[in-house]
Amino acid sequence: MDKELKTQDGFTLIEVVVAIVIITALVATFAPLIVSSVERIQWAGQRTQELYTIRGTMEKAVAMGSAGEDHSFTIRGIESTTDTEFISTASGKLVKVEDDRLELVTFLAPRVW
Amino acid sequence: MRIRDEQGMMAIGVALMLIVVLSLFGGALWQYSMAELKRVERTEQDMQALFLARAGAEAVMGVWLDPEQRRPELPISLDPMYYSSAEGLFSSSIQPEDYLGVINVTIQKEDYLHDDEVTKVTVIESVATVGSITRTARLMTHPHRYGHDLAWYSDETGRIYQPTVPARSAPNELIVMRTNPQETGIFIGQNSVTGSSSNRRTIPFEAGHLVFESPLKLAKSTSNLHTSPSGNVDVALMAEVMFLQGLELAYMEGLLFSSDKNYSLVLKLPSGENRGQKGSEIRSNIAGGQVLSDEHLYGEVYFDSQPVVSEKFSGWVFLFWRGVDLDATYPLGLSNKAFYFRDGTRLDAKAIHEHVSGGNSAASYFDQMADAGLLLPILEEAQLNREELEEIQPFFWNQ
Repeated sequence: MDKELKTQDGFTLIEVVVAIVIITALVATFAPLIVSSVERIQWAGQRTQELYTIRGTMEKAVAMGSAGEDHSFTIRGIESTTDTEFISTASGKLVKVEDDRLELVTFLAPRVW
Repeated sequence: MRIRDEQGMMAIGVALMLIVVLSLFGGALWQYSMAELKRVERTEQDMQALFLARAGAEAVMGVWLDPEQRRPELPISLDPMYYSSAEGLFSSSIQPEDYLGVINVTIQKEDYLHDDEVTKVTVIESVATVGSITRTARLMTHPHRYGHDLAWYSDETGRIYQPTVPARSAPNELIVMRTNPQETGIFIGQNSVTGSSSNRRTIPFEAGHLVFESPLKLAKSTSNLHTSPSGNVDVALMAEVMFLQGLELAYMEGLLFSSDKNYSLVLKLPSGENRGQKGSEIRSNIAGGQVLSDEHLYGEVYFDSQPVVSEKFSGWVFLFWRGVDLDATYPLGLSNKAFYFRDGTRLDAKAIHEHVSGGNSAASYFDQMADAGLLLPILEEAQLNREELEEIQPFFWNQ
């Protein structure tokens, strides 16, 4: 038994130290990458949920119809058949939902139907 | 070099393997996280583009449905519209320095298959671009619904129904009243009304606009009148604007145990707020000297070139008793005329018959109605065009 222990090959202290140094360097190199990647994935998941909440709020505001502020702007174009300029004013509600990163905007014409 | 040194190499090998594993794992994770970031960004732009596309389509729809504004000749491509976040407003043609997205709108007519018939529909297509994302919103006019779609009458026979729960039209919807074949006409038949004949009974047709493409023949024929309900029956056309294509009122005197049959027409505004026009709003559209009340509300009724008559029917018993007056018909002189009607105005068949029986012309009856401010002729330049009215159709989101 003693003989076997004595003859068994093993790592020298230097080898072990070198290996630990390499592994530490590797971990130190890859850890921020892995951590930041995981954080980004988590953030993206949360953001997706937030986006659908914002979209839900927007859909609700559109369905309510009266949630926006009065707004009008000019629309124009050229009638292709007569080559006449067409100018008119669109009047309705400006509906806006936003958070610190995203702004959703739409326009609602008066409900006549 | 002794073989024992190879054990050190093995340790380095393990470390290298670890490098490979870690770099693969880290790289994959990094790539996935970046893809997630891009996905979120695309989702944001997609949402922004979608609502901007909706905005463009809605803005143009609002102009299209506004009777105060001129409609463009189709097809037309409108100038790009922008939304500036900094200024918080939409603008057209001039590109702001900082804008959220750009919207391009086209309006055109397209063929649409409806009830085995190809009809033309108006399509508003709005394409919005935010960043690299483009979204399209399409609004399409819905083909008009017919009165028989609402179970108001049979499209084959023209007989009016009175369902327990009458179907309703949308608040401003234009309903077309047409039978198949078109000339059959819409009439009051057996079971068209319920309730006691001693009460005045009303059959309402309520819509924003009513356009008749078939005649409204309240009695249809003498033989039909014999089996039709007794008493006073009003067909109430409840609309802000109505176009009639031939109208026949009917009156049959009662005999022995049967009571009169008086089928009249009532012109009413639809229920709800802001219906019709006030007297003050239409003053400039009628000839001077007309009696006009600012307190009353008015709608518009148009009679086309088809005959507008009141008929007095007499049964066979009358034929022996009196021997005259069978199917007497009085032209009412309303063809091609347009009027503002005061809410609730009745064209009473019996009253017209009595007026004519008194030696007067039917036309003078309507002169009296005009004098009373019930029917006011609309000046020609203020009259609506049936084709233009038919352009007013509800839009629905096609995409």
